[in-house]
Amino acid sequence: MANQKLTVMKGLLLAVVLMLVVASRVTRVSGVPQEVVECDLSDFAAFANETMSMEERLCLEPLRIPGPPPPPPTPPAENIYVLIVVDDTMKWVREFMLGRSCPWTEIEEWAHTIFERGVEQFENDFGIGNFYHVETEFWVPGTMGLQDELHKAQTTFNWPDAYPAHYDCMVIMSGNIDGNKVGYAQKFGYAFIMSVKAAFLGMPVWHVFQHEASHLYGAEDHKGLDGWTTWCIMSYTWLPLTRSWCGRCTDIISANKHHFG
Amino acid sequence: MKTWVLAVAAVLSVTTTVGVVGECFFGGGMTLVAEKLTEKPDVYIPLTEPDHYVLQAVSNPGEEVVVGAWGNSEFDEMVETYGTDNVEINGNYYEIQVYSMEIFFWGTLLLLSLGGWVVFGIIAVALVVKGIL
Repeated sequence: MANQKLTVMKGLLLAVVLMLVVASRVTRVSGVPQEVVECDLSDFAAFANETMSMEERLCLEPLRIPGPPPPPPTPPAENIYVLIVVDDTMKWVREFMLGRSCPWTEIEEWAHTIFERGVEQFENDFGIGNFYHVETEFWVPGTMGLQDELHKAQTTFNWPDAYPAHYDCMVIMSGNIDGNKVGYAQKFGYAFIMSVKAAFLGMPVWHVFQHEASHLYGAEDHKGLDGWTTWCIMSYTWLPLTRSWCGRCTDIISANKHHFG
Repeated sequence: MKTWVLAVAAVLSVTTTVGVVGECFFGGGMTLVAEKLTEKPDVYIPLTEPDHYVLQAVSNPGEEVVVGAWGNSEFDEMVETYGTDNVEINGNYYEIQVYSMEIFFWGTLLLLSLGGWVVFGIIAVALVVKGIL
């Protein structure tokens, strides 16, 4: 009888010690107290007779050690649908450069090439690779300045509110001779106009496209001393020679890369 | 020979100067175009101390006011902060659109003249080395 009491007492003492060990272990692993596993101490006989498994003895359940947090879900790709409007002066510039008449299909092909090369660097540098040139509209706006043409195109095609299909961005390509002006874009806007007459200056016209599109993402021009000392497509001096962005413009575009999202 | 060299240097100096001056004073950049609103807009920026570019724009609605370098006016930053380009000035309401007006002619002229200086320098050095100059 005395031995049985002694055995029970030993069992109780062992159980208490084990509980303390397990509780301290659970707390230490997670840093904060977790769910405490309650031991069923009613079956002392089984415990004392060592019929319980080690896990049962230690009252242990598999510890759930928190691993690294799961990566944030990748945002769905933002498709940017672009409507390109081409005017008759762009056709005239192309015909002048080639020295022959061109059908509209050839002008559309040229516009698409400018578009493809203009968005290329956005994909390479920022992963903005889902521009879609969906449709080309042709029109004859008449004689006016570039800025007026930008507004008139949006009014004429009822863009963006009442155009038959949804487009995120409208690009007007023109050969408009409006003094020295080559383009207009609104900072953080959704439309711009560019003149392909830059080709007469020996400038790759897709550089102009890339420059204007950069304004939509918030990038600013570098002109004057800032332009001469900054190797960037936003520089008025180095634009014909480079397609890369300076650190400042890279940061701005990176921060606003979901502008169309 | 020296006359030719001096003449080329003079032409390059003129084109460089024209390029620099042209880009600084006629080179486009940030541009404001104001339009007077007949009704009070829902959202607007109350401007108590507009800069002189903004004042010039609202004084000449529909006309382009060239600010030039983007740092010359803080209006574009206000538009970003407030999320609107509608403003109230002295009880009148305007929409002032901020554009970038691109004029690359002067920069390209400067670039060509810089290229000219490089070629000129190489030829001049070669002439000096050969003892012609």
